[in-house]
Amino acid sequence: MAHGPTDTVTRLLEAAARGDRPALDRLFELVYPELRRLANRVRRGRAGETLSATALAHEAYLKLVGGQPVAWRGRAHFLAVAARAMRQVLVDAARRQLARKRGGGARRDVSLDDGGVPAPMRSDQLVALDEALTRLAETDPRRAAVVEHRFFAGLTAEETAAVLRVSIATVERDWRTARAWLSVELAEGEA
Amino acid sequence: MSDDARALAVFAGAVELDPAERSRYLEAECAGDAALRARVEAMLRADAVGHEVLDQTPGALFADPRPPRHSDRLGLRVGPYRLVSELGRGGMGVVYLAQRSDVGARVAIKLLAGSHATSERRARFEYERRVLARLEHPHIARFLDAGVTDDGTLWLALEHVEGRPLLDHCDAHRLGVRQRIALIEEVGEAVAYAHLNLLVHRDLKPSNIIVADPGGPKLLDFGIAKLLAEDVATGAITQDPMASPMTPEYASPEQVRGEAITTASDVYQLGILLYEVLTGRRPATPDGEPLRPFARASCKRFARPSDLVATEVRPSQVAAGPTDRTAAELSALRQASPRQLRRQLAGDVDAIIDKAMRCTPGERYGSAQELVDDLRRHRKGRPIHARAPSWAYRTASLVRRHTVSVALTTAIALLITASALLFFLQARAVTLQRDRAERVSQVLERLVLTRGPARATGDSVRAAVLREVMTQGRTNLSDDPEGWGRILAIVAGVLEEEGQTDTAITLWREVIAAMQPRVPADDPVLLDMMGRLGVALVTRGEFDAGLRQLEVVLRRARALSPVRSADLAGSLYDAGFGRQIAGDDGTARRLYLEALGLLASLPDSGGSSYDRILLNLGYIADRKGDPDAAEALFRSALARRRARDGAEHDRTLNALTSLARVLIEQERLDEADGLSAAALRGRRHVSPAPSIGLADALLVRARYLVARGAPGEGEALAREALAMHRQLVGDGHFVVGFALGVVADAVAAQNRLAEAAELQRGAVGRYRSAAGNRHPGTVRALIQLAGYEHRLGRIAEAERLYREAVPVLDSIVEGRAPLAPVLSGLGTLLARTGRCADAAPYLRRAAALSGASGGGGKAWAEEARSSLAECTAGG
Repeated sequence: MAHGPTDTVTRLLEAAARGDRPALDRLFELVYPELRRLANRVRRGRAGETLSATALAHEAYLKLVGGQPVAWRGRAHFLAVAARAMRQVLVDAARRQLARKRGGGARRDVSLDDGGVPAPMRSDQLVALDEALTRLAETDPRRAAVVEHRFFAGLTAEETAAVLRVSIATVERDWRTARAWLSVELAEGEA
Repeated sequence: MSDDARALAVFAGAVELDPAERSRYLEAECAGDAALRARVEAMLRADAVGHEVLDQTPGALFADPRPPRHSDRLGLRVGPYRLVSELGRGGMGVVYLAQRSDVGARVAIKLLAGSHATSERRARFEYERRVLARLEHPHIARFLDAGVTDDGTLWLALEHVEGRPLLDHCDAHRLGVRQRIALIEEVGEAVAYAHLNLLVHRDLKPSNIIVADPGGPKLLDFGIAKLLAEDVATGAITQDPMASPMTPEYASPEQVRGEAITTASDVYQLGILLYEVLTGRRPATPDGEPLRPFARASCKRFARPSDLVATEVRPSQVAAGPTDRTAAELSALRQASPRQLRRQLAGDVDAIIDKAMRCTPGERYGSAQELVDDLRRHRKGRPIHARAPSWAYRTASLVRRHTVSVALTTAIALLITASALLFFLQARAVTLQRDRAERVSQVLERLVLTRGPARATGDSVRAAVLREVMTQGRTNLSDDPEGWGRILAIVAGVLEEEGQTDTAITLWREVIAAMQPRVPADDPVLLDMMGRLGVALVTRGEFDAGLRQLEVVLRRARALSPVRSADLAGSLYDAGFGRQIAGDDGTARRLYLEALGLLASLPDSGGSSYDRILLNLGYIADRKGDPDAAEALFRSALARRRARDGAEHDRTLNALTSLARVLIEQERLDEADGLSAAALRGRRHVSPAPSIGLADALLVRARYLVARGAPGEGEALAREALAMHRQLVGDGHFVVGFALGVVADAVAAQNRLAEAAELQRGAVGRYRSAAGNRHPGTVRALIQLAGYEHRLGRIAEAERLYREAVPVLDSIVEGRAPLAPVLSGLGTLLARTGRCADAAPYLRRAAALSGASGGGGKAWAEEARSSLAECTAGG
């Protein structure tokens, strides 16, 4: 029986979970393009000055393979774990940025209004979002997962639906609901 | 159900409803729970306006300003310039064509994305701007000005280059390989120049190079280069590498790994540039798949460019790579067929790119300039350095070993002359590698002197230093086998050149044992040592150990990927030489021919290594009884050496004596006269002092005189040579046997047979103890001796000698002509002692062989036939 790429990923994930080093390396090669694709969406095609897409993918990978052994269950599971890893990477980066700003004493966040473009977001918002999302997950794990996949990992509604084994309509409803809840939560946090 | 869960559930129900229904729904769901209702309504308001974070992507957080609306920038003033049109955009920002308001000059303005001018940044920017302003190079787009816009965005004004990006330019003009290489040389020089100014580019790629017509290539985007200044000493940059922009497809392994970036990264990227410009594809794996950045970072091998151009482009490569053309189309754009293109890239270009793109920065070219120099050497047909680390090293050692080899090969060639000695002794006389030896002793002296000067003066300083280094090295070898191993390898080489072969062999063995487990099996120093050890063992007569060693080296050299032709040729030569010395001519010949094939692809066909193999093949042919082939080989080697080294060079004179000798054997004495006289004249002219070269020329001339019927004059010359040998190598050495043999022949020709036999016995004894009973040199001397004993009437002794020599010689010459005199001698002896039945087979065979070959065979045929006739008549 021929192994499709997904089969291969699954087998390698299992082998990697058992601590098989070569499988891990091979896995890296296979998942790297995937991670980069995700990372590219997340960073929106711009060279962020803190995180290049490559760096993002790289870090995400390290999170993926460097942490606790995981009992992998195929590509969907992989994407789910990748989404978690991306979230961690981004939030870690935001925390580092915050720490640097505090350390550097440059309290003033840059705010350039260039031709009506919205002001830039701030690292603390991302950190706050991460915390709010963690609270949401306690109450409503599925909606939190939707946010994680769509926002942090940059998956489409369709991909998210496939990973979470729900309908696209459900993903879209969940997304809208979670977003509203988080908005309120974050607004209260700032107030 | 918690409050949050309630709010979420109620919102999910409400959001789908139209306003009137929604109001009723909320009324019902939140009956009496004002807090819940307020919460859900806040969520509904949030849903209507969206969320500034969640509707973005998180990466946007890290790029401070949103991308400006570029069209809005047109017409804007930036410093003294006005933006005219957008030229392009990349990771670093947007580039505009701009015009200077006052004088109308057109420039390129780059607005750096995400470059908000904090005070720290401004300071750094100011610094970079000063460095950029220093860069003045015909192939770097000139930096003109820089500043900060009113809104705090950094900008750079650069020379506006009109032209096409590198790849477009090359393809549009259908540039051939050499023209493409010439372009990369110019780019490389620009990079080398920037490196001198402590600037690393870090993002070399085809789209960053515009070729102006006229004007040549111009390198753009030094704006992102980071300064090296902070850490010049280590050559490393200490900034957060993750923060530096790069293009993954062109990133060096250390960039992908997030390690320190140095000038070596630019060297790597120049390698990728070459690869892509020449093959039309980015580096790929050997099966044609694109080499992804992480595969690169983990040191995955890429396909040799010459191999890649011969394979068809795969769909996966089209997707990832820059081309959708077939291999034939890619080649046609380079004015070649795929086969021609492959040939143009095989060898030098493969080696240059391999060296530029080594995974470990330290293994690449030491600088961009070195890469450029090698490219230029290649274009001009000179030997490139990428064939090293070992090219120079191995070639030099090949030359040195050759000097030994010619001597020994000659020694076993069943020839009476001692051309051999010339080179054997030269090797001992430390005439070689003067500059290398000096360099080595400088290094060694520094090493030793820093630990307290050796208490020796004059000539013995060197010896004292060597001894000291050897002692230190041996003590520390186990702690640092790699470092000390390399130093001791040099020491052993020097010892061998000075004739201390036994010490050298012991040292090599120690060092090899220590280094083996610590370095790759194909480490050039290790292989070189093993090769030298093998040759030294063989020349000392330890054939089994020596040949085993040489086989191992050859196996490893064959396994090198990519093949290093010079190294492999060197190992083939060594292995062949060992076989030849050991008397296995068939294998030797096969190995030599393979080496010749490799050398033919090198610049100047591998220089003197090539002629050396021709000479050795000539000896093999001669020994096998094929003087025509021998002559052709010698003549071809002679012509090459005359052309390259001049008429009076050692190497030329050696080829000359070899040729003269084969002509003497064929009794073409008129031709041999001029050549042997010229060789002797040349030697005496170059250096009248005793030397192996002079002795060799004397012996060849002596042989000529004996053959011409002037044995008295011949004897004088041969004795002069014998005295030189004794002086140079000592009386006990087996090469003294050569001169003894020639003197003996001259003496025998004057009918002083007892004296001749005594001399020849001296030759036999020396050969036997050095090379054993079955060695061709031993056999040759035995046969000569048997002839004298026969003529002296010591029949039993002569028969014994013949019977020992015949089967060995038979197997050496595979039954060819050189066997005739011996068969004839033995047969005649048997016939004259009344054993005709015994004699007949020898005599018949001798007569048949003699008839088949020209030259000296006739006399023996005569003798054999008359003995046969006597036998028949008598029987």
